[in-house]
Amino acid sequence: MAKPLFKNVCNEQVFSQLYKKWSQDLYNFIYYRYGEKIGPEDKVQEAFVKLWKHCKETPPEKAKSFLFTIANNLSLNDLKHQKVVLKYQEKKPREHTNESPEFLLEEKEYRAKFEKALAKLSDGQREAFLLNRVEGKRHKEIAELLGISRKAVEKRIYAALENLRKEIEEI
Amino acid sequence: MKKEDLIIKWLDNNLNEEELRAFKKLDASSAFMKIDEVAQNYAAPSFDQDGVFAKINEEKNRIQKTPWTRYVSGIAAALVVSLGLYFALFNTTPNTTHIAENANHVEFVLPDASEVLLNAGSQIVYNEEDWSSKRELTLNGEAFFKVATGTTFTVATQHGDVTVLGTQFTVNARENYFEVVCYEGVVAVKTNKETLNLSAGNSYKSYNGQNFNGTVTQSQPSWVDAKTIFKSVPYFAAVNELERQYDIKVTFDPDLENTLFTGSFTHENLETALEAITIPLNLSYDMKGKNVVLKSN
Repeated sequence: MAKPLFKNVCNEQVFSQLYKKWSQDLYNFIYYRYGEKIGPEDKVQEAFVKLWKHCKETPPEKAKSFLFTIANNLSLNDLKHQKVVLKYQEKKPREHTNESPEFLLEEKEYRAKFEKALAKLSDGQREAFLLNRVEGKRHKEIAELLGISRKAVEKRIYAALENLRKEIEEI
Repeated sequence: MKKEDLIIKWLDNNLNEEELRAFKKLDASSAFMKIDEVAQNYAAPSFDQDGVFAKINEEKNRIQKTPWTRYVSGIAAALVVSLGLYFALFNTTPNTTHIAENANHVEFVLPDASEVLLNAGSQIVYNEEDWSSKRELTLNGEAFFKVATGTTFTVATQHGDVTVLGTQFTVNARENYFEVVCYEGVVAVKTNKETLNLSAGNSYKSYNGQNFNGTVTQSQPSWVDAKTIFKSVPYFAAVNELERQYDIKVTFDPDLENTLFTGSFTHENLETALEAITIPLNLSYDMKGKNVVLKSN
């Protein structure tokens, strides 16, 4: 019988295993959902401290949904309608540019449009889209992570893509 | 293939060559690929995993406090309680939780005078403030309900929802076992697979992906009277229940997990209870502290 060895997470080892397993996903979840201004690192920290405080009532298999719910609620409290900002980071830093100034300007304009459109997506759409495109997660993995169906994930990602395209073309 | 499906497949990096050609012929495909290319630059910045863990540990150590800080935190707690009261009066109330630890039963009354008896190793969460508008609670474990008449009463569990108007029933929602027994009135059981109505004297069981319907003759669950009666339940469910009633840990041959067990055990004497669940299967037991091992004879 698959019976958990530990009935709660009040054990240093269990706790640090959980941290290793979920902290990165939790961080990405908050970052892509609410942007960097919300302070995703702080939210991860607070969520795990809360988990420790409630360790007695939390069996290991419930820890993940506890962490995601707490981090999400903490973020929502802080949100106060601020705009979601994601940091642009050059993926491959260029050593020299041989592109024409017109091209660079166009790129910059496109980027501005993209950021605006990205901020306009719903939190759920942005998160699913970026987990898929940037983190390269499969639809099935995202569904498991967020605790929703694969169909729902696909709907969100598809809607995000269409919304981005329409928004960028319109501006 | 429909355009939308094609795009979704592309988004899952799952197109074959032919489909990829079809995708590239779409009007919007170049716009999509541009979006994808630019999106790559918005990856989450690297996250200082070790640094954050160090901070968490600092806070953890502060939680495990010394007697001196306990005194201070007593005052802090009083402050929190008064703040809590303030918010309770002027703001939303937090959820109420009732827990019955192993080897314990807990009885309580809900805001509408419905009665709940929680069996060992079970927990119920509900919101007192929302109760008047929505009678809904979350159950993990087993409980007997005597519901006051009124609007729909919902017991949400990991396996599905049980809804009623006013009646008496038990719900047993364990990790890999789900059982509903109706003693009076009618209850509706809604799992992700099916919806059915149970009338008085009927039961519904589900485990290992299989469902069973049965009948009962008692008017309330046996554990209310300090014993547990089983009728054709898998052996693991019976053993788990014994573990919860006595707060012990039982190890047994996994081959027996799904053997059907009919019988009962008392909550008042562990040795008698152990005999009651071992003798019918020709097993003997070996007890060391809280650990019990069942062996075949």
